[in-house]
Amino acid sequence: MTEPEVRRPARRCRSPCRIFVVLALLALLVPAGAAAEILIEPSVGFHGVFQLGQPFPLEVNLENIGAPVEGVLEIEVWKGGAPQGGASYRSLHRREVFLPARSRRSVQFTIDPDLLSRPLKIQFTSAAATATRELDLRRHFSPAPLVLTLSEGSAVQLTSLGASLTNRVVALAVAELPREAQALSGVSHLVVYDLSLRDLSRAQAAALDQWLAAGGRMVIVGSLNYTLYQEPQLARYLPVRVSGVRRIAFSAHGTAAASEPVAGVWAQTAAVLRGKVVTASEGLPLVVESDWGKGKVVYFALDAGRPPLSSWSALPSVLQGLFRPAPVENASLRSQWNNGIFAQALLSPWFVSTYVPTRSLFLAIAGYLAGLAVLAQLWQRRRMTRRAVTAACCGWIVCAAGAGYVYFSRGGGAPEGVLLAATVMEDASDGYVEAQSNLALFSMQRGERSVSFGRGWVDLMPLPARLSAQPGDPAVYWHGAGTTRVQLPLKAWDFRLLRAHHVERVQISAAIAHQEGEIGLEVRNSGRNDLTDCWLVAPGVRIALGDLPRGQSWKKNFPLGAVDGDPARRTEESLRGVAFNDRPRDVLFHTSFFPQDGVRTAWRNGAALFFGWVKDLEPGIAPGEPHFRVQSYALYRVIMPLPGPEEE
Amino acid sequence: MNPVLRENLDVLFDQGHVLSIYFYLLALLAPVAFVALYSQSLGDQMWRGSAMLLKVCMTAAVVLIVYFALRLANQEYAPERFKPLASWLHERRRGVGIVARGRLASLLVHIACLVLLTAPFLIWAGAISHTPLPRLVAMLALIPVYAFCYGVWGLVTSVLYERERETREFAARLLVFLVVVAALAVYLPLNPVVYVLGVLGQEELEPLSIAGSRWSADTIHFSFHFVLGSCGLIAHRRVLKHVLERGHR
Repeated sequence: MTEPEVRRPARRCRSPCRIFVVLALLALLVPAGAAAEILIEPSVGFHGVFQLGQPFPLEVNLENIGAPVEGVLEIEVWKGGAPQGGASYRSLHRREVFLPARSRRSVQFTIDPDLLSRPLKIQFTSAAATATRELDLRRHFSPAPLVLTLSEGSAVQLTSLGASLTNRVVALAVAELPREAQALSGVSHLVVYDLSLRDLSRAQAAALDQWLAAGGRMVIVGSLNYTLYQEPQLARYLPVRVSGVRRIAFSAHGTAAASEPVAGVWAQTAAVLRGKVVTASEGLPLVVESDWGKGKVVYFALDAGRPPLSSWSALPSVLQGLFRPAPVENASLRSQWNNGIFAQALLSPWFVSTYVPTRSLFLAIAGYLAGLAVLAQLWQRRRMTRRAVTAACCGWIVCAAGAGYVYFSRGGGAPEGVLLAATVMEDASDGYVEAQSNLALFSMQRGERSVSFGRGWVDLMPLPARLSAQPGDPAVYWHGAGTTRVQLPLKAWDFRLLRAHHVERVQISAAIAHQEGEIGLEVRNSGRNDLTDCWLVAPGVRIALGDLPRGQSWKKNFPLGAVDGDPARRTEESLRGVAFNDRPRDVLFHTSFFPQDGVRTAWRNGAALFFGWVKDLEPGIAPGEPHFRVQSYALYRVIMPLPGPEEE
Repeated sequence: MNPVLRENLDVLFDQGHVLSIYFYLLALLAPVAFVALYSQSLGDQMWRGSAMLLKVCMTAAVVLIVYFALRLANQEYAPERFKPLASWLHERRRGVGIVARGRLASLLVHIACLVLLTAPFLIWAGAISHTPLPRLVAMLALIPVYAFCYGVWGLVTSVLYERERETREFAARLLVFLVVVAALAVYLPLNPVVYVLGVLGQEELEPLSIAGSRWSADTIHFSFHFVLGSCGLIAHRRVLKHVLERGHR
């Protein structure tokens, strides 16, 4: 055999070997590519800053560099722990995400971790790819609330603002505003300057409204571009109607850094629509304040971002005057909520009958006994043989037992569970109420239960005591489609207690005025629900006012007799004497006025109180399962502290 | 068919005397089952809701069935219609075995009927309180065991004091009462109600320590009832033999 003939088979062999090696290398590359398919890039708070102890936005940017993938983005945060006085527990925020091939997507969450010592874990999981990222939040928090400024990138910046405030100031574009009001909880003021809000989405606008109503403060600084302030998206917040601009001479009266007047300052000309004019000059309203629920909108007519005002040395102190802090949270709303209170409400027979199969069990027992009675009659009258009666009896018992078992094990016509919502609403002016809802979700059957709430809900947290009992079952928040759903794993006959806090508009307003020896009460019910079982309580006074149907109003005066002894004690005596015909109402009423957890309620120094039950109020929070019953109680109240003897 | 059993069935079923027992049983159990629907309690970790329903129904069913089984075994219903033992043993010359088996079979038939009648209530209660089916079946199986173990002593007293009706009734009740009290005093899970409630509540029953060795509550409970039932059976045969021998003398 010649040499080429020997080499030929060897060459024939080498070619498939090369192909095999190339294919093997490619095969090795494929899983490597799949593993690195998703890249996670998080953005914490507002440009990396958030207020400690408050919810904040978390934007997760996902980049898919591989094939299309559908999966779940999950954020794991730690709640409870020493700051909350209990054991720590996990809370998961999830969202279903679809990522087309070679695409980027950003997903917004609002998260509220209690423990910053543990890292935030972000995970994307799908059948095709998994990616994880951990984030240390300790480098991002600020102890004080933030001030956000909204301005166009090209517009003149409010350079003096940073110098005038101790809070962290973060400049945002409109698109960066969160879509959930809860995410703005750590923001004290939002400054709008020289900006169009046309690009504000409906979700963002709703979030802004809710944040304002819940106590947020918006400072709108005027600018030369007055037409921006005439756009409906911005004009709806303004307490004035802007018509133009003109130059004026401005002097900062009353400020610490008062100096010579500045001439030629650009000021917007405007007519006041609502609110209070705080400062005016040359016939122009310069500072106007108006209420927005519990919040406030402050309008400053001068263009602080352009010369000559922007370079004025006293400008920081002038701006500082616009940023008054919001009052502290109303502690009197904190009604007590625990297993004991829940049990008292639950154990009333009327309430029990709403979630047990009373009627069906009664009918089953009656039907079964009736069948036996018929068979006994037939037997007594010898209409049937002994064998036939025995067979019929056995058949009837087996059928009744079997059919009943199938029917009752599927619920027996009773709901699968009950959502109890007990809400205390405190008047927050302007038709708004600040509401705290104590919620109990209980399930008769084992399974994953959920509660969904809309954008109006500022804060919702499962009580940590229940969760700490089962550390393996974290609460899961599912985000998407404009609502958030809390998913809670529940056993049969299990329950979870939750709390929610929000501000909403119910169009009920009540005012109590203390005049010479009498109390004036003015109540207007412009809402959609009747106000029932209304009471007026003051030291030594307890008056049942009855029901106030929707669309009606009261204006009444009641004599306030001479109060002997401590007015606070007399108020408490009057309150304790109030009773309703409904046990759950009694329980919820007394726990809302007598919290027993050391909180000093507003009426403790002696007060005049008006309260009533809002009939058939939808709780704004819904169970995720269709066969759940919702029992909602809403107590509307107004508390007006009475002046003490010294003050009088 | 065993003649003693046939006589028992004729008297109690054909003449309808058993209907009053069934009436009382159902008339007592039905309201209990309905009212128990409203028995709620809130534990430290779990709201029990209507989960109490089966516990209450089982307790009532155990007590009622044991009570009625004891009375039936003790021939407290239409006693004048039953032939005296002497008639079976001496005049008709039936053996002790036949009489004992007949009386025992009668007791078992009545227990079966009582359990069958109450079964729908217990099954519905189990379904409403979401009790797992195996546990429900086990509970249903326990009732006839207890009814037999305590009821067999009714057979004994009915032979011992055959002609003294009031003494017979008193003796049967006293005997069961003493057994229950003694069991409660010695070891709580010996009591059927305590045991049933413990099992339904998925509680860990305390084991019993005897001379350094630990015995589980299940072992002790079932051993006790096995001994109780066996002693009853032996005593029943012995007293029947005693009656036979006395007749011969």
